[in-house]
Amino acid sequence: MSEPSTIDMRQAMVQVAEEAAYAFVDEPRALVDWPNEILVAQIEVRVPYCGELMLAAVPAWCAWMAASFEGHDEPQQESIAKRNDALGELLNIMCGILIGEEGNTTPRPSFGIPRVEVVERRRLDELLSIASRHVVLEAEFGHPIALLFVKNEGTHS
Amino acid sequence: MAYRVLIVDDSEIIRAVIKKSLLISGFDVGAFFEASDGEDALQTLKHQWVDVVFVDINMPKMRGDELIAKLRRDEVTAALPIIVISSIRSQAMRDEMAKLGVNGYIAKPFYPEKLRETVATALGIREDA
Repeated sequence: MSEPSTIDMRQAMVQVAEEAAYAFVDEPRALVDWPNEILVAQIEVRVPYCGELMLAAVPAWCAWMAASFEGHDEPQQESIAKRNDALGELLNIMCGILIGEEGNTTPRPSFGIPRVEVVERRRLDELLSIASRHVVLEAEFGHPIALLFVKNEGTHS
Repeated sequence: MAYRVLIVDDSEIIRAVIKKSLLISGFDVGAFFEASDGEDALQTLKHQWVDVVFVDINMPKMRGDELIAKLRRDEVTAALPIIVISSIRSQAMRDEMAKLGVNGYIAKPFYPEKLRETVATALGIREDA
């Protein structure tokens, strides 16, 4: 298998949101409307897939996640670093769950360290258009989150 | 006995989660030390004695597996209890860490109960005591 299935991606998003951050995510009840500023975390996966796994979310939701990780009910005076750290760590754990079922044989699973950046909405639209798989869910307060997998060039079958 | 704990993870959020989980699970902590990668951890261990180390695997500068191998080769830290906390869940990685001599392996996400159970086993603490 050269890429994760959308079913597994959705399951990983739900599991990590619930178990790591005590957050509830589900299918969007309406058409997703992304804001102009979006946070995107990105991890390079080398084994068993070959590509980039990305998690996109709105900054306000990431601030909630950072607070939830630390046991607070509401966002504190969180720094941008903590907000980014929270999104990167959520993606890191999702990545581990996704390859967990694939990585029980050698060579061992291999993936990088998450990088997080702010992107404009049109950049997310581009990423969604080139992703070979993507899942969009809705979290508390209607905040959308998206998990995307973009194959590395030369690995398309 | 109050235990001295070193947490090695490049995520500040995860270091905070591990600290909080240990405290709410009732683990008796005397002191916390934090490091953001393997090199940082080795520097800390030059100046501080600790009773247990929690180590992430995927970190910049010096990875967790490299840190563990160095600690096991050093006679001062060869028997130091080490628990891996990683997002990598595969049996292949668990086996590799077992060969390095780690005392426990926890996959993220984890519950405080799992953390307490693993650390109790690693430190030989009787849970019914």
